[in-house]
Amino acid sequence: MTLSLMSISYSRILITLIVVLWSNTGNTRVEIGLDGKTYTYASNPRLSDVLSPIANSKDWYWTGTAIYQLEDKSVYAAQTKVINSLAMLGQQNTTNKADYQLIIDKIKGFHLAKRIGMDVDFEQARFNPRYNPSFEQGKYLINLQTRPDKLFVTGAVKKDLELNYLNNTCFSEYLNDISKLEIASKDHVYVIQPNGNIQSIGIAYWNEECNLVMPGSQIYFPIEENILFDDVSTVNQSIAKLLSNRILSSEK
Amino acid sequence: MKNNSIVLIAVSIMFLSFNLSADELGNIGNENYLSQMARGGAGLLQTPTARMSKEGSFYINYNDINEYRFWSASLQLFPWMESTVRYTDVRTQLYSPFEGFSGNQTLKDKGIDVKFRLLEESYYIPELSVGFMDIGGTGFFSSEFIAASKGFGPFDFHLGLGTGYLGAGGNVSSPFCKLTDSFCDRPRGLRGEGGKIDYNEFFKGPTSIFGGVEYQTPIENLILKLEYDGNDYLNDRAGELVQDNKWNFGAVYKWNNFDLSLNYQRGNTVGFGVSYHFNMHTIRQVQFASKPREIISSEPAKSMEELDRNRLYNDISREGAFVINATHQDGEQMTFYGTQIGYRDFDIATERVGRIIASELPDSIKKYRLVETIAHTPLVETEINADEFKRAARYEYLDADIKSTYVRRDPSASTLENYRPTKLSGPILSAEAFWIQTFGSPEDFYLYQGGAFVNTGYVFNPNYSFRAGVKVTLVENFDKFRFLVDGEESTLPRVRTQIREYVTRSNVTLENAYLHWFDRIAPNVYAQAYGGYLETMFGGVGTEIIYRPVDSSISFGVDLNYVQQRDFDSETAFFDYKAFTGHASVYWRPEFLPDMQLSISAGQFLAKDKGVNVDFAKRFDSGIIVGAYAAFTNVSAAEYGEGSFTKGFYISIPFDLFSFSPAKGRGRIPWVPIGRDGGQMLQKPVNLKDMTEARSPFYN
Repeated sequence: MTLSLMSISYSRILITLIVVLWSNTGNTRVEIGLDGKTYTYASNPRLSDVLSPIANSKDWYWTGTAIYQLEDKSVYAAQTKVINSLAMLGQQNTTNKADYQLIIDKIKGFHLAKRIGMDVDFEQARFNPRYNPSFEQGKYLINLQTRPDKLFVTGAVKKDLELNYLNNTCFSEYLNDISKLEIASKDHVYVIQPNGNIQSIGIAYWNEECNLVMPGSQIYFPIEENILFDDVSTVNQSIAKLLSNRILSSEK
Repeated sequence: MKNNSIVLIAVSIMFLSFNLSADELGNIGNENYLSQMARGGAGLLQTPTARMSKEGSFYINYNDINEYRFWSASLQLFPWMESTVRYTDVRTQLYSPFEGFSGNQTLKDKGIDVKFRLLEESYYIPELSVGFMDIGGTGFFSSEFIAASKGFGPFDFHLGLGTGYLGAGGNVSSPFCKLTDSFCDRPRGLRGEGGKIDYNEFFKGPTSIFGGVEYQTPIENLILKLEYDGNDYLNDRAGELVQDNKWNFGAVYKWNNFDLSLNYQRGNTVGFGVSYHFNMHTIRQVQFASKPREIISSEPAKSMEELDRNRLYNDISREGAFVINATHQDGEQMTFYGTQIGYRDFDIATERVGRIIASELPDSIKKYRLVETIAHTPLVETEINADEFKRAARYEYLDADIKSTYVRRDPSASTLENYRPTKLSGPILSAEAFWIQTFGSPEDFYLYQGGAFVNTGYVFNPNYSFRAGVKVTLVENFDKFRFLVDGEESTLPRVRTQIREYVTRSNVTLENAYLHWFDRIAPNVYAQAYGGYLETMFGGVGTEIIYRPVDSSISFGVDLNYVQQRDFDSETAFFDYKAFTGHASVYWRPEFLPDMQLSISAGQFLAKDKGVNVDFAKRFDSGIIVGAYAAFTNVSAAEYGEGSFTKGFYISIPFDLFSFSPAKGRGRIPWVPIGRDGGQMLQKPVNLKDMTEARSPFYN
């Protein structure tokens, strides 16, 4: 596969909505940041109210749309825990300590926020109350984008990459473009889909098959796991989970 | 007998609809490409591989290879354990040399296999498993093996080392024999009374290497197999079989939930097979039910006076499937007493009913209580925080969580005190279908009896009732029974082995008739007493008490009974045999074994033998429960007779897997390889464990 041959016709537009709600002399106020502008509501808005001003302005990729709760700090605690675990693994494997440090540095650079585990879709929100919750007081961020044309590679790789997305292409086709660290697993990768779902797919001679991944997915190359001890496996799963709370657009 | 009745037939499993989710698709080493060996279980043709299916995967197989026919069922009980049960028909041999006993029926045998995974496959390491075949039968195919499997793109390579049937060819010298002489020879012939696990045979005698390769062809769903056989078929149960070639060939085509296979074995024999499979975790039935009521725009009553009670109660019953038998309102609280008859998932049921209540009751009511009752006795109460519930049900915050707005607990003193059901006495009438079947009898391989139990009686008050059950047989082929067994000699009292006499007396029989008392006698404690004709074979008196905290992983029970054996020639008369029987039981769901229930009952059984009955049950996500039990008593294997000890298996299937509308209730399919007189428990007409199931549901 040659990267330069890829022809991607999707324009990629990232818009961030920042919804700020706070209580002011007994009244709730809502502020929405939209592409640099801010909108204010006087009461707790429903999701459809928040989305309606921009919902039809572009062909949004609702599958990859997420709501983040900016005041929930639990995700930073998880980040610290993962970094500490990686540091400990680095100390136990002195020959590859630099590799562990590289992954730690990458994780430190992630822009993270607590992602709310729900589907965001304007049409669903309009017609099904279950998908149209209210925003409580607090700071939120809604990440809207058109269909992405990239895959985001991180983890035990020498350099994080943004690969041009190829339609109807097995994931294994991308592998030649990725140089893994020595500590990387030979067997599988984690795919963090833009809707936040996480799956593990095989990449080795014995378990490889044709896996189609969603555009905008993050690919986490895990650290080689040990069949007798599952501490590395736990760290890998924690990192994959952390990545589902990553706000890629704000890292640009 | 009632508990042995079969309400659903196994064949109907085949009509369950289900969907395979995308993540179940795999590569050659993964489950989607796995197929079954001839005798059942993941494997090549005659030999097993190290491969394991996905947990919950269930195969029903039929294989036909000239001299043999195999019916088998294989279940992946845990990710690391596969279990297979099998009936074998040997076409070249008769069931027995006595025509009067078994006519011209050919030889049948049953067997059980288990396989355990030792290592999962990774880059350098193959998947490694150890297995034991035909451990529960008379040993036709008794084998032990260690197998390794390694995938390579579309190929899956297998290598194994086996003893017994798998190693009969002896193509290598036994490594076990080199370690110690006792492993050089394998005891031959039928083993004792059968049914026992003969540990002292394991890995002994001639040893062979076997193996092969599977290839996922470019044609989707077509898999080819090549196998090297370690058996020489010289001492086969079907007689000496000619083996022209050690290599066997096969092809499997996967079509929806079916695997169709064709093979060529021993260089001279064509075989074929068909398997049907589904996954007990993921199997689902499409259900048509109204959506839970939305309450965003509902207009509740302004006050209790304005409440339309009829509409509320009818909606709770119709939309929520919660049949109310009493209510109580006190200030800011309202309690609904009744029985959930539609939704077996507690949270789904609670949300549905809660939404209906929230849409009607005035906002001044701050607590809703739902009290599940049985026989007019409160079992468990669910207290809903009305304001929190409404906030969640109106989605007034992101990621709304309705489950956090209610708690389950033992009914409080006020809940019990305020329970005043209007209708306390009256007649009862119900009916349920039954199906009894037995495989492998001398007269015919499959014998069955089906019909209905008609249950009637009169409830005097919440605690006392009279109940009677009549068994009406509508279809059967039990008339094929050529002989009854009342004359058989046995060292044990004949408490169960005269079953043929009991089930063939008449098409209409009195199954039970008894007076019954039931009550909650203390917090978390329920008790019952009964007297009369208790089951098909016994009458008498008994009592039971159970301690069962709400949602506890452990509960305890004790039952004591004094019974006399019923006369199989009469509806009402008794034989002289009397026995005291009773057990202390513990029901436990260990945290380290998720979705498993272990029930242990220790005491005296019907034949006055003393010992313990152990029952393991595993619950899959679909609600299907698979269990096995065994009774170990102070009766020796020789005294016990064929089978050596009491054991059995069962599958319990929720009705809603067969229904397009929500339903509670279950059907149970038992499989008892051989029923004898030792280790037999009284089939109590009412079981407190079942009656109080809503307090800590496993069978929901």
